[in-house]
Amino acid sequence: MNSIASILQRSIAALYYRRNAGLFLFIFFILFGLQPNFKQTLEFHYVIINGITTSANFFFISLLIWFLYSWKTIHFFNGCVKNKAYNFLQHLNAISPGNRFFQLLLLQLQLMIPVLGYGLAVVIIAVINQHIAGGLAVVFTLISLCAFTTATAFFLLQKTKWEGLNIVMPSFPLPGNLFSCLLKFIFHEQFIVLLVLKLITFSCLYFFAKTDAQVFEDRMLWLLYLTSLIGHSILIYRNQHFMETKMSFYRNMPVKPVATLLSLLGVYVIVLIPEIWALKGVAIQQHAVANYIWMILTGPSLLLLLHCLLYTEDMRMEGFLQLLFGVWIVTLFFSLSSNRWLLPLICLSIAIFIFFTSYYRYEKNTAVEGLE
Amino acid sequence: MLQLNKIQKWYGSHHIFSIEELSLPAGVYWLKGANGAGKSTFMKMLAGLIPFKGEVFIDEKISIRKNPVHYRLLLNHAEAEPVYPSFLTGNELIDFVSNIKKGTKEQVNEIRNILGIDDYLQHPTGSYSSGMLKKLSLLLAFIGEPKWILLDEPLTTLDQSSQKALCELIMTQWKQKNISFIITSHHDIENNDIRFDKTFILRDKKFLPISQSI
Repeated sequence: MNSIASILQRSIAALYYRRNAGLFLFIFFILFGLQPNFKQTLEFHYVIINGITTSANFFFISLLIWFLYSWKTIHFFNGCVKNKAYNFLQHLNAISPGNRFFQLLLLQLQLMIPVLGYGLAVVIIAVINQHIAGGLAVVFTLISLCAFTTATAFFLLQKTKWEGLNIVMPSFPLPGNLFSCLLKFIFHEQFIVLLVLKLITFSCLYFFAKTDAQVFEDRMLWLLYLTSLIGHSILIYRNQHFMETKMSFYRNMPVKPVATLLSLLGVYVIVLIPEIWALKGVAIQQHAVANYIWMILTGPSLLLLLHCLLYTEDMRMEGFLQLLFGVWIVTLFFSLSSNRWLLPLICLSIAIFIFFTSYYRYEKNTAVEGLE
Repeated sequence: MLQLNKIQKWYGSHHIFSIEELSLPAGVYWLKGANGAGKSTFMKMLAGLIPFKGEVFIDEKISIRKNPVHYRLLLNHAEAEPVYPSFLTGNELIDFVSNIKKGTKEQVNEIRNILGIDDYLQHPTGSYSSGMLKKLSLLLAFIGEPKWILLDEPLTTLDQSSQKALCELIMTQWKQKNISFIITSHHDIENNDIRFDKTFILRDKKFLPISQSI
């Protein structure tokens, strides 16, 4: 690996995977962790892969997901290019266009590893099953996405002031407070993560909640729901980082801590509206109204708890992931017990306790790479 | 009066400064110190942005720990290098702070005119230059009815006419509204437009008075 490729790999590709580790873990769990054993996992993916190569609808759904993923990588690269700490990237404009394109292609190939890896598996299965047309379509799609993302990165490097990738969300009047600022932050700056997350969690929960409770018992639904909630950690981590860097002035505002806490709770209630909607089937089809209510109450309480845990110390993503794993295990065991109705109360109580004892003691020390 | 008791600030195991006891009557103060001496840390600490050991009171009874909301209503702060959400406009930020600090439109317009803040407030702060951000942060620091305003390097990145306007604004607010100031600056402003009641220096992890000009 030459020096340019090495710098791009260390400063962008490695950072990309570190920053999105939570999201990748969540998607990995949804794709590979829900089946009871390895054999069934393979069968599950074999069915999906066959679907991609034989059904146009399936193919276009995967195309959409892969495109969204590619868009995310471009968005990340765009964020790096605009970051002052990454001004050194401008030196790439001094090398020949061909070499520059090649270096960016190497970078994009690294960023696209999850899509390329799955795509390769699709192509291999397509060849084995002699679905040549489907396999060729996937190959063409992957090559196009790599070319498209590389060409966009090439363009972005030259036009650092270009704002074309920023999604212009419809402006909605909101009172000037923390609640509206955080909502705007989520919808303006985390839109792609939000979209990907909601697409996955909504579709999974909707399917399970609609299915007869005798096919999938409710413990499975709780497992999926708690995993979906933990999957929101990337949003929560960025929200907290946003509050402590871009809104550090807020700590000088004469606001009661309880108002700050309620703003956070309100934000997470809004964020979870798709899940609340998706789970309606638990009350309607499965006639488990109490279960539905506890699930709805658990959602914002758990997200608030995860946010408050970030005030216990200034954590990097790796540290937060370890903590998340612990919270996930504990809540999971709790959801299996008959006392699961206590879960929202416990989450909320711990969140309140941590917030009131830690908020004013918290101090940001670590500069989180790429989030500045 | 601003009263500091048994203050200690550490970053991990790194000791930044200690102040056993300090009382600052109402006035305008200049805080000097070499780069890295802890001036910004001191300002952030007083503003309630970062934790520390010890206690700070305004007017002897309003404690930063026991009355955090009231304390913050009486003490405003402008950072040396202000950072704001890039998607919010200047106007949105002003509304945000005005709502919380109980500022009025008249007050905002008055400060805006003095500082010479143009029409850019309707644009997102992400498009502002460092000078524009600085002016916005100064404007926000004057909103409400504070008794103390902490200005960290307020003259940096401002053009000459804005610097002069800011100095006049500081003196006007002090004389007419009895608002006290603590200002850190590398610029030599002592003999120009601001008349300081006292100058301090942060040196060797201590807060030392230098001179008394009045």
